[in-house]
Amino acid sequence: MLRYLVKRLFFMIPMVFGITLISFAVIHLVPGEPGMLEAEMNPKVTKEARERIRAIYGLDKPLHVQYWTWLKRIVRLDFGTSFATDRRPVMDKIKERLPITIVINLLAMGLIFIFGIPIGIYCARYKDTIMDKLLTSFVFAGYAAPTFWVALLAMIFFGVYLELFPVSGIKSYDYGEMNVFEKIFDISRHLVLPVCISAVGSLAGISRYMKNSLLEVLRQEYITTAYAKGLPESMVLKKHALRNALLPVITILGLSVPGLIGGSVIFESIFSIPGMGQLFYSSVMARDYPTIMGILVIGAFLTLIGNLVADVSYAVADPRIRIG
Amino acid sequence: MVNKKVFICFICLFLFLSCGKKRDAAFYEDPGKPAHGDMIITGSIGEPSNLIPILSSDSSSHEIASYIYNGLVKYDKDLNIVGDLAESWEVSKDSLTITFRLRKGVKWHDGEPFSARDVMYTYKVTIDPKTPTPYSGDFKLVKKAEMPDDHTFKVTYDKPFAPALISWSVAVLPRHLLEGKDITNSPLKRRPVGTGPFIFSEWVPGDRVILTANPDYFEGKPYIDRYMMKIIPDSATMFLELKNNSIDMMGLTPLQYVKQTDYPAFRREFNRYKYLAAAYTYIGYNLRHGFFKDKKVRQAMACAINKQEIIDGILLGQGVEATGPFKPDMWAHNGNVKRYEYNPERALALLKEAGFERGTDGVLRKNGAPFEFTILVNQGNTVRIQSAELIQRRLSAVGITMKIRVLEWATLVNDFIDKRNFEAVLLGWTIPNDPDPFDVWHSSKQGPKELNFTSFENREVDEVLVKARHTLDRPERKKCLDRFQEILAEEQPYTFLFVPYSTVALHKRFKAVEPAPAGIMYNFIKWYVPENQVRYKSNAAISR
Repeated sequence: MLRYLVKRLFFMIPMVFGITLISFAVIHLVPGEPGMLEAEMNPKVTKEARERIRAIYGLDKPLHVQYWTWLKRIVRLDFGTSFATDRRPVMDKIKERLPITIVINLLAMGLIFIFGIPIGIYCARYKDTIMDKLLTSFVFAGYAAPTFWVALLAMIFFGVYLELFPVSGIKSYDYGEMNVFEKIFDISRHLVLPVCISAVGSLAGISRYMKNSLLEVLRQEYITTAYAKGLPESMVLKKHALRNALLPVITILGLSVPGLIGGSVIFESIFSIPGMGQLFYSSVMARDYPTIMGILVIGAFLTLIGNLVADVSYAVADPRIRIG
Repeated sequence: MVNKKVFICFICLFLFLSCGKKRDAAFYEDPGKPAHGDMIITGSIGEPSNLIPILSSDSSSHEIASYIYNGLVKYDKDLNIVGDLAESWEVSKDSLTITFRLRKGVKWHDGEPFSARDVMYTYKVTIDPKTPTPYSGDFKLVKKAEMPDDHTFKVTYDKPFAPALISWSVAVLPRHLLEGKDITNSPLKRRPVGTGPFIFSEWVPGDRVILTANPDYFEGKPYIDRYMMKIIPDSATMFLELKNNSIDMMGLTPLQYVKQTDYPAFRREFNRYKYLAAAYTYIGYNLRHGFFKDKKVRQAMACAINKQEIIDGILLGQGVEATGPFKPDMWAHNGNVKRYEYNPERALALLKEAGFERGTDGVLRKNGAPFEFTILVNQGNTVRIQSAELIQRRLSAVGITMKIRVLEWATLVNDFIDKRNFEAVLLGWTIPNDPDPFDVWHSSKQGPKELNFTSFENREVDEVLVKARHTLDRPERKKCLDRFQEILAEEQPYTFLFVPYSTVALHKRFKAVEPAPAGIMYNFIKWYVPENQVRYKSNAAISR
C-alpha cells in the first residue's frame, strides 16, 4: 500500500510541471499584455511609457527566460507579485478570497448531499411513480436552467419583491456595528440565496448517481435473500442496500476537492461575492500572469490530490486495484 | 417541532426587518436646508486597483482618487480651468513659463502641511524611469521645474504647449510619505493620504471602499458625511440593488433610462439626470485600403448611413449626431461644418463619380470588383454591435456588402489595429476636456501603438494641429481647431456617428445636484440631504 502511495506521489511531480508549462505557454499566446489593457488606445499613454512598463514586468525577455524565472520562484513557494496595477503579492490576493469561496462551496456541497441522496433513494425505491417523475423533472430542470437566470429570478422575487433576503454581497452596511450573533445572522441571511442556488444546479448529478447505484444494488440476489428471510423493508434498504450503493457516491466526494476552491465567475459576479472565480476571471482579463499561474498551480495540485484520495479510497475498498 | 417554531420566528423576523421603508410620494420633493450627515452609496462594476492615481489606469481607481486628492488646477462646471491647490497662476509673455501660487494652510489628511515640495515630488516621481506610470508624456515636455519658495511652483517649457496648464490637474502626492521609498510598494496604494474633500476610511477587498468627509477641507467640509463605493460586478445585479434602494447612484443604459425606470415607485425615490457624455462613436476607415482611399467613397458612406436611425433605435433617443471629434457643448466645437444628411441617392451619385457601377444584381462594382468590406467591432459593447447591424442594412440598400466581425478587445487592438490589418472599425473615442487632437490626427502619429491608426495624412491638418497645440490664446487656438474640423468634415476619414448622453439615476434625497457640461459630480461637496430625509444616521459601515 505504502509503495503504491509513494509511486503515485512521485508521478505527480512531472504532472504538475507539465500543467504549469502548458498553462504558461497558453496564457502568453493570448494577445494583449498586463498592465496595459486599459491604457490601450489611450492618448495620454506614450510609447516610451509602454516600453518602460514592459521592462519593469520583465516582458521584454524571451518566453523561456520568463518561465525559468517564474519556476525558480515557485519551487520556493513564492507566487510572486501581481502584474495588476495593485502590485500585491499573489498569495495575499488568493488568501483574502479563498475563505468565502470554500465556505459557500462546502455549504452548497452539504446541501447537495443532504437533499440529493434522499431524493435519489426515494426515486429508486418508488421508481416510476408520479413522485419519482416529478422529482426527476425538478432536479433536471434545476440542472438545465442557466444559473444566472435562476439567480436573477430568485433575487427579484426574494430580494426586491418580498424583501426577504439581500440581493447581493455578503455583509450589510452596518456590519461593523453588530454583535457576534447579529453578525452571524447577517452573513447567513446573505448566504441563503447563493448557497441554495448553487446547490440546485448540482442536485441532478448526485441524485442520479444515488438512484442508479441503488437500483443496481436492489437487483442483486442478496437483497432478494434479505427480503426472503423476512426483514422489514426499511431494514433491507438501510442495512444491506444503502451501504453498498453509497460507495460510488463517496468517491465523487474525492473528485469534488478541486471544485472547492474554484468559484464560478457568473455566479460570483451576480451575487457580488468576492471569491476565487472573480479573481481568476479578472486576472485573465487583465493578463495578470503571476495571479493566473498561482491559481492554476493551486488548482492543479488540488486536482491531483483529489484524484489521489479517490484512487486510494478505491484501493482501500478494492484489493484488485491495490495489487495491480 | 421546536425547530419549526424557530424557523417561523426567523421568517417573521425577516419580514419585520424589511418593512417600513415606504414613503409617500412627495416626501423627497421638499428641498429642505443644507445639513451635514448621511451617506451616499454608489455601485461600481470593477474594483479599484491602486489608489495612487499615477499607477492605475482603471476608472474606479480614478474615481475614488478624485475625492481624495487635488490637482493644482481643475475644471469647473462649464469646463473652464480654475484653481484647485493653486490659488492663482501666471503664464509668462512668451507662453513658456507657468508660475503657480499655491494655497496656504492646506493640510494632508494626516495633518502634515502641504507645500510646493509635494508638487515637485509628484513631478519627479512621474518622470522617474523606475515608476511604472503610463502618464509621464505631458510632464516630459517640461524643461525646468523650480520652487522659488514653499508656496510657489514654476515650470518652464521648450515650446508654448497648450495642454500644459491642464496637465497640472493630476493628483498631487504626499512627499513626506513617499519620498525615498519604492512607490510601487507603498502602503498608500491601498490606504491613500491626500488633501481632498474625503478621507480614505476603509477598503474591504472585493466588496466596498468607504470614504469620510474631511472636516478641514479648504473649500469647506462636504455635507455628505460618507461615501461608499460598493463593488457589484454584474450590471443586472447592480440594477436590482438600485431598484431595491441599496445603492443611491448608478449610470443607466438607454433601455434602463427610457423604459425600465419609468414607473411611479422608481420616480418617487430617484431623480434621473442626463448630460452629453465626453465620448463619440465612429466608423474609422483604413485609408490605405483600396476603396477607402477615395474621398468620394467616404462621403458616400456618410450619406448612406442613417445616423438618426441609430440614435433613435439603439440609444432610444439618448444621443446626438456627431459631426466631428468634439462634443457640441465644448468651446472647441465647430457647428458650421459640412453635414451629410441621410440620402441614399446622393450616396449612389457620389459612388458613381468614384467609378462604381451598380449591376443588375444590385451589387456595386468597380472594375469588376464588388464593394465588399469587413467592419471590426469589440466584443461586449452591445450598442456598437447593434449600430453595425443597422449600418449593414443601410449599406446593403445601396449595394455595399458589409460583414461584421466581433472581436475581443485585446485581439482587436493587437492583431488588427496595431498591424493595420483591417478595412474599417466601429469604435469610440473619449473626448478629453482639453481639445488636443494631435495624437489621433497628426500624420507623425502612425507608428506602432500610436493612435492615428487609420493613416490619416493631410498637410494642412498637420499645420493647424501643431499651431493649436502651441497657442495658449483661446480665440487663436479655436480658429485653428475650427479649420481642422472643416477639413475633417470634408475629408470624412471617419464617419462620425453619435455622441451619447450619460444617463444617471440618483436618489432623490440628495439636493443641489445640477447637471452641466462637466457632468453632475463637479459640485459633489455641495450636495446635501435635509435632516428629515437622512437614511443612514449612525456611523455604521465605518469600522475605524
